[in-house]
Amino acid sequence: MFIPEKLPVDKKYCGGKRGLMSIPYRYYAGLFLSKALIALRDEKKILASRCPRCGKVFMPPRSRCERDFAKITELISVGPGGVVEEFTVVNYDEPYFMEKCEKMMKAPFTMALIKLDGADTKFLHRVKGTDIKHGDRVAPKWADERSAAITDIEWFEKA
Amino acid sequence: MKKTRNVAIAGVGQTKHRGHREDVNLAELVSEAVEEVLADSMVDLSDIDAIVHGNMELFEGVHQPDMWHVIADGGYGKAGYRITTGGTTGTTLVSAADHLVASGMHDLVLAIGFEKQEEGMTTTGITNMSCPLWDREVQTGAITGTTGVIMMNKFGQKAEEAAAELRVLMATNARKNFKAHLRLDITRKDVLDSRVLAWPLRLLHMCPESNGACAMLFASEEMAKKLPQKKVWMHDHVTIHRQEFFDFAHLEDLNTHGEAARIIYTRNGIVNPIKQIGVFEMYDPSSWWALDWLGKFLFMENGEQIDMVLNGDFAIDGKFPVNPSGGVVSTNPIGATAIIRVAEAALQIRGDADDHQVPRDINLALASGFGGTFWTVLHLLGKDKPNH
Amino acid sequence: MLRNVAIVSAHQTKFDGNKADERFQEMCWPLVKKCTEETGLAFVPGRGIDFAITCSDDFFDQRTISDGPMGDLVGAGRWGGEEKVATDGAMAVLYAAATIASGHYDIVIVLAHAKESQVDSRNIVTFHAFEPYYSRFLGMDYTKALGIQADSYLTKWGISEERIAAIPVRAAKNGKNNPLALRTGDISTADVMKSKPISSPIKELDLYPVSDGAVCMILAEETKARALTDKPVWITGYGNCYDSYFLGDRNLWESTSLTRAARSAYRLAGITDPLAQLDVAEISVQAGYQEPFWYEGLGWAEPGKGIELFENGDTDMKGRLPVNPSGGQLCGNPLLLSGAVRATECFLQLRNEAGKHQVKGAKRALAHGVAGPAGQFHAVLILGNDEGGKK
Ligand SMILES: [Zn+2]
Repeated sequence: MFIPEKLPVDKKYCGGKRGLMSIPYRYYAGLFLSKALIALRDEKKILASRCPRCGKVFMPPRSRCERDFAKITELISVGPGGVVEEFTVVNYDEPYFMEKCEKMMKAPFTMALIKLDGADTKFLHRVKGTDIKHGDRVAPKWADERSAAITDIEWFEKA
Repeated sequence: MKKTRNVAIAGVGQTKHRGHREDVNLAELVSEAVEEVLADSMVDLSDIDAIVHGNMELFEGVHQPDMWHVIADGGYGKAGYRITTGGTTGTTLVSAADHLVASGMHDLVLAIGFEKQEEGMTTTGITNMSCPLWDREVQTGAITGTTGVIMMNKFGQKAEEAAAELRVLMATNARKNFKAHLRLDITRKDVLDSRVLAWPLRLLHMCPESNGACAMLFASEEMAKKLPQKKVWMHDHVTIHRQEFFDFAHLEDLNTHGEAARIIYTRNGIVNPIKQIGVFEMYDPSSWWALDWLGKFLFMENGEQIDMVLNGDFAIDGKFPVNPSGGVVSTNPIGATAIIRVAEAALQIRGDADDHQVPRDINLALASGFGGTFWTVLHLLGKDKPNH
Repeated sequence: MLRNVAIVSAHQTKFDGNKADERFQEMCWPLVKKCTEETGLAFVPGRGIDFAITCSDDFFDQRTISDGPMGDLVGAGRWGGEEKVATDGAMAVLYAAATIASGHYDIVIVLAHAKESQVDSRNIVTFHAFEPYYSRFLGMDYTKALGIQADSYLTKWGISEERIAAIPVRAAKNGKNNPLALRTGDISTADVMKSKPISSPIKELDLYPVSDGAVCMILAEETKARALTDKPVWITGYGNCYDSYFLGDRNLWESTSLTRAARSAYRLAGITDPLAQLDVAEISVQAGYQEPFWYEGLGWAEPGKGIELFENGDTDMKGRLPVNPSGGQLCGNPLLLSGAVRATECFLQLRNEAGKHQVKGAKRALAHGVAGPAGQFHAVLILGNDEGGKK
């Protein structure tokens, strides 16, 4: 029986069951994205994808252009440096994220949209610290042990 | 069912359904089906007004995946509807597209059903449909031997032979459909020797976990006239549900298939389904259920369908072809499974089912979806425009 | 729509932070009872309620096929039919209207619910809305997405946080007149500014609180609607639209999808000057900055000038177009449900039944719902009573 905390007195006999949906998931990135993720691990290189029709360089990379539906097959190197365009200083910790996300930072930290050099779109990443300003130049801090995931970049920091 | 305006199927697209699709991610899988439906219908993506999108979120653990899939399904700048109803999702997507076009709200609607079963745990996902306070801990998902036991009590050994024969027929059909997931070369003996899951349900009776997507394009009559692909018309559909906690003591009371069929036949002047309907794409999660349900859809109270199975009457060239595609026991990406039934039925009417085409003219086709707590969605499609 | 569709009955629960004494079925049942008793209808296809549309979410309910138990409540579990809309509640209302306009059904019941308190944190659910390769495992959730969008919007137009802090203040003040609202009262902009920072520039009082609640509605085609009520509320315009998924693909300070959705709704309802032709609007504001932002998307103000419309008092209770007389989502409506609550509030306004937060003589109303990260998807409904421009 699970008794919730902090209930008004008239609700103190309300119980229930603590549940946990523990379904393990395996997210396959697919051949195309895998190339970009492996480049993070093996070459410390950030790859974006370029649309053959409109020429836009998308970061994060994707295999299909949202606007013209062209199939994208080209990966090009962008960054590693970039500019913080928008950000939020995160002031809460979510215990669940601490458990599920690799190298999760403790609050306060910054989550930012960063325009990497050579990319046409911005991408999300954590930035160390809370004294970030718009237009700050940042560079990736690579993890020592990398697993072909976006968290192979632990965070970005002021360059 | 009365309808404000006619709705036509203007194109069909589906991926190859496979047990492993590590080569693409979920969004890319969906875009394969969209690419094919665009090619099949010869329609430009920009002409499509709305997307109807559905699957079961807990199979891949993605919350409202239609948002993410905008990057790959052409949804940018379009209207979108996310409709999900468990196993029946695919057929519900078809009903939804039919509603949206018939209502006059949209002229060209793309319905997409998909699932990448390999990314999660199917049975764990399904058991989570049960009430957490009462029966979640004892749920076994869709794996149940009850129907088999009832049938064997009623009709004896013959029923077990027929269930196995039906599975062999599905395998034979699936081998003709290169998009099917399991294209097995099996005999009745193989089925009966396979591992018991819940007696008399055996491993080979049961549907697989597949990865795949299916997309269909629906058009208003005015729009359909301008489109090049052969049309298939939406004649009727019905959705029948039963309660969450059903009565295990009276399983006969769960005859939603029979009720759905009764409604569809009455409304559409079908007095002899075997004669009047050219092909039936049935949602058959297991061969035992299929054997039982054929009797329900065809109103055979004395197990006549058992003899029909053993006679080969449900084969592609038989009296009443069932699942020329190989059915759900061959292919089961759950969010797409039911829409594949409708898509395959439409291909049969068009005569475009290639190697698994029923070798005769088909005017009417039936497609069923099954899911939830004994829910049925039944669709009737036709070569000619319905007269409403 | 090829047939006229009206809402004939609508009820909502009180919104609470934790309805620990009710399972979601118990939370919904009184509403179903009110709607069916008020109209005298039972779920009997062809002779009463023909069909059901529910709105819920597998993640929030921690349940695959979360509509499984809902069919029993509305009566669809007895040989009836039901379909679930798994996005914002406004879409459930719109989709229900589509099933009627299509000619398939005449009377449809809509039941929407969300119990955010069942999950340890709302953020755990929205974490799963991010794709798992480049964004989810950075620890993303909708709250952070709101923070980034707020930063983008405020910076682009040079709007100070203090000016935005006035928005939750008015919401709480309007909410005082709404007995169903959760977080109401007299707060000041200083209170908002002082409240706990969540995800800058968003603070605790600036963000919609966790809440539980439900909405039930009955929709009908014209002839039956007339027989069921003297005060039908017609759906005269609608629109919904997706924007790009990745936050970095968008100009986060503009909302193209809301503009498109609104344009479609206005065109269908014959609205050319929304500020003049609408009498009341209920819009889904999850965080303060969204209120002026959505004004712009809805075409009520030039880009960047939405805050002026707010500060002029044009959207106050006594202004040109009262917005969120109920207090809105900032007073506590769960994610997923907000659009349905907005439509219900418009329904009450148009029937002159909104009690202390009634806008006098309201004839035409706008209800808005939002879904996805940082307002990726918008739905807009235009509702009108018999004097409100029904075609
Ligand atoms: Zn492009």
